[in-house]
Amino acid sequence: MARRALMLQIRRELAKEGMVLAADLRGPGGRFLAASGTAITPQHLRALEIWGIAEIAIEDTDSEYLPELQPIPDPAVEAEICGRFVAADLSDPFIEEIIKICLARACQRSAEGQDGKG
Amino acid sequence: MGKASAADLVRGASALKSLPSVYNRITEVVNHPHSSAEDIATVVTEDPSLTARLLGLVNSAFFGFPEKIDTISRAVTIMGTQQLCDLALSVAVIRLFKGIPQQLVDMESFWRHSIACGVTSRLLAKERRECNSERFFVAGLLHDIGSIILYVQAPELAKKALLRAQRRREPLNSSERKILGYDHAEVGLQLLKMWAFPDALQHAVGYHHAPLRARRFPTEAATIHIADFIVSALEFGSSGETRVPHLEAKAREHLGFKVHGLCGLVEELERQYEGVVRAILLPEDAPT
Repeated sequence: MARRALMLQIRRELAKEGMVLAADLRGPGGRFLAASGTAITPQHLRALEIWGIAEIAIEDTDSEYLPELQPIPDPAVEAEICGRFVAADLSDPFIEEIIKICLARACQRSAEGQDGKG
Repeated sequence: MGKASAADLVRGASALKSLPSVYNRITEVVNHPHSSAEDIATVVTEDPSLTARLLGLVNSAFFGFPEKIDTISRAVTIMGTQQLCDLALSVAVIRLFKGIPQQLVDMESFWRHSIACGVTSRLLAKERRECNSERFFVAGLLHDIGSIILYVQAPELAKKALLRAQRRREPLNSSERKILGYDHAEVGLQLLKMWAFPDALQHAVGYHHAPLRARRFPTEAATIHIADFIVSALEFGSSGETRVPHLEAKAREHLGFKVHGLCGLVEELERQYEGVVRAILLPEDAPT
């Protein structure tokens, strides 16, 4: 199967040794943990747990876990969505989760070629 | 127009002095100890538009009944009289605001936001096993009703508040309080008070931006607060607010609603939402 140059967002639990990071891995407060292009090691998996990182971006090199994955949204769309949360405490896990759902919905709309909202 | 109080604004809206008579007649029949499902159905079916909307709603994914319900009397038997009365109230209120000027807000988007908030409030109430979750639907549906009063009765000040919220990137209710001295939630409370709605509904609407201040009905207020936050974040329509309102973490704690429940809730909202929109926003001249 030809390798596709796609960046995918996966939940921490789905991360496996050998997957390749598609973006720098950073902890809370932006702390640098590993560079983009690094193959994930057991140490990285432990770091994800320790730092409570819910999701990571990886290069899509394998299709077996594709149904569980979500494409990375357009940065402009992400900025627009985050910009609407002016009165929110972004460190609240509930806010983090709803922003993730907003991003997933935006990606889905984009994939379906829709501009309209709910 | 000068700065009238929230109660003044509501009193000035002469067209809203009373709810449509059909709702009052339904309430009378429901409250009569000897009324049957047939008696209630007789009153409801006098109003074909109301009948069509209610049947649309009971046959949508909102209820998810396995069989088609084709008469109001059957709907009453299955759902219960109070539930049907609450749904009739929702439909009656939306019709009351039909045809208002849309310079400041797109009314279809307004009701879409309100319906999504109603559906989400009901889902949150069901999750907590609250009795009569339809009442939470009504509260969610009416939570921003005060905004319409503001747009109609004080359009200049309402516009100033909308512009200020956009310019300063602050929540709309904060801008309203700075400009008017009160917000749309307070106006909504005054309207529901004038209509003599149950206290729980008044407080749910009146404190939906300040649920921690709701001393008598904190669960109702917290439910609408969380539901409003969720549907605003997910952009299910808009009542004029372009930002996501402030979320009180303590209100979520009060409800015991966990982060991991959010995905399932949103999925269920998406499953039910369009059916309710179709039923409630049915054009007036649609066939029954």
